[in-house]
Amino acid sequence: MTAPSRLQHAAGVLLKLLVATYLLAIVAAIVVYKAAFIDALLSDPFFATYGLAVSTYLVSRFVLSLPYRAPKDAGLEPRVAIIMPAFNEQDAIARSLRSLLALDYPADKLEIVAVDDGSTDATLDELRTVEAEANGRVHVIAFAENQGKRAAMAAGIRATDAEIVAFVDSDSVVEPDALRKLVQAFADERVGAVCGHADVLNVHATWLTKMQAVRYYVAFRVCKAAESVFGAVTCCSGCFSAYRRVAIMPRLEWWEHQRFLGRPSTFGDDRSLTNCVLRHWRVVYDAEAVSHTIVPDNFRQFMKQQTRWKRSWTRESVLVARFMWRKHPVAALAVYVGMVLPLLAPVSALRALAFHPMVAGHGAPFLYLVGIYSMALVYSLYYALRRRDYGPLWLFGVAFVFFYLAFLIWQTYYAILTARSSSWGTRPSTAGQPA
Amino acid sequence: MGDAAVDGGAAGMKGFGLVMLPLSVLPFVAVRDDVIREHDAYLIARNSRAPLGAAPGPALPGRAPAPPLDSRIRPVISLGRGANITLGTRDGSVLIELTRQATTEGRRVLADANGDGAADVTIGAGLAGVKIVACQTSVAALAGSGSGRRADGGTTVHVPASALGAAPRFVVTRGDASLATCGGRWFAHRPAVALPGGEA
Repeated sequence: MTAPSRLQHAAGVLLKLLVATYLLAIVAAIVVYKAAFIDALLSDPFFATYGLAVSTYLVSRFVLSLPYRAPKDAGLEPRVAIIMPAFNEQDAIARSLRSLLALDYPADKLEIVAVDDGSTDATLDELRTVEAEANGRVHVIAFAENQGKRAAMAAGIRATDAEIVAFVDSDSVVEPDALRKLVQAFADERVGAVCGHADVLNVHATWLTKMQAVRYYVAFRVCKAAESVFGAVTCCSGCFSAYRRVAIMPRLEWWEHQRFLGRPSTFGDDRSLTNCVLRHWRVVYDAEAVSHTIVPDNFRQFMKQQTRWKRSWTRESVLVARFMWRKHPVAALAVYVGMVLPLLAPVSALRALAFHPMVAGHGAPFLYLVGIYSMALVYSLYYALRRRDYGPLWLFGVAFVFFYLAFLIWQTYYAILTARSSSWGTRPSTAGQPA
Repeated sequence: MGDAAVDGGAAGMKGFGLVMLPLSVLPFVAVRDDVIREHDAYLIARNSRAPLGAAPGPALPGRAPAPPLDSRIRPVISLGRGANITLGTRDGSVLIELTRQATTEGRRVLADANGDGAADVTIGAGLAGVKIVACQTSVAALAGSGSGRRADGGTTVHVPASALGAAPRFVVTRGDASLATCGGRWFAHRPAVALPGGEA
């Protein structure tokens, strides 16, 4: 190492130490603040309890993620089928499929099934092109008309008898070593599903994708890691995840035709399939099995995606609540608290930002906003700390929390009220469900 | 794609990230005083203020006559805006207390002793000290007044009960504590407080 690079390395270490100290100071300040007002639990029980619960919940995610370790290499090489459903993805599908062909995994143990869900663009042509290049390693299933993502995924599962079934979204690419790493978790016979890590592929596209980059990192590396410690990951992302075949087959028919309040469930298939497995198996997260996915780069698409996610969260919360109590008590408590807090968040925000200053005539909202800011900093500085190089992206994490406060917390009620909706709200589709 | 590809970027952006790190402390610094005030208000709400060195008594009910001076009950009456009075102190004075926040903001307590709707005595409490103004009463009547600083940064003022009449009315204003004016007719809808021996 040359002298300048040694200096640069030392500066980087110093900077990370500074960020770590700052992060710990903020967490300590949050704890001291909450302790200083602890008696408010008696004088203002509803909101004081809510505030304490939110802080405890968020900080607990970080604390619980500390003992998380990615599954060890057990030398497993089971037969794997990767299923990639696609609908009108002509621009991204070939790249995604080729990333699967480049996987570092024995070709005789890897089957790739691409399902074209009745695309109206050149997606099928792209699939056929890659199929021709792949010397029989890619099997393409083509639907004559759009039947929906679940139908495509289910057809892929039925087309193979591989022991492990993995899913990769058609707008995601996976690292060459990702699959080998992902399947190692199945060395534990209690594990029914594994969720890989997803980073944002189009990070630098817009301010919105930058914000999502920080959000994705924390959602996976903190939240899923915290759940994984108890083998209770509640949503294996569709970007990249794998399931034990015997864990999903008993519920496949039910899952494919799942209905909610009399309507077909046409989105949230990843969360739903995870729930099917989580009921009887452990579901874990592998931080080292990395995929990269394209996220919405404009406000309209992003809001529609978030509405779908919140609707599926509503639907699946009803289901997961029925069996989660049988899991580890800490994991169960986190899930139940995590169901209640988003429902109360708009009430608390309205009280702090509108009622107090305008109606009650006191209590400027600054303290509330700084409380939000402190939580945003915890998330964002953690991101800054964990990345290899210190960069400015963490600032977008702070921005995202305020973006969340401005737009997304209010979406919860709308999503609940429209939870029956089957519409993706993106583009026309016979099944209303692009793959 | 590794971390470097994600976190990389123009040197200018990296510099921006570095500059923003220390600047991110500023919102915490900006609300520091608000947090202290909020905590003061919280403590006051939790423990209603009492004369220094004495346990607080229950609040005086609406228009009930005040207890005698030797009563073991020491009623505390909130005047609002961070000020309250305690009746029945041992030396016969009325104890007026202002919280740290009220003191910081330099609030004034105006007392109408004779019921004519104009202030007879004003007490301004600020960080620079206490200013007691005799408006329609003699300075001699206020001779026994005294003031002090509470441990939490608030202010205590003793005013002879005789200077306040039998049933004074109080108003707490946001005004400058150093004002020597007595104007304004803000007492119209204020309830009278019965001092020991008097009746509202």
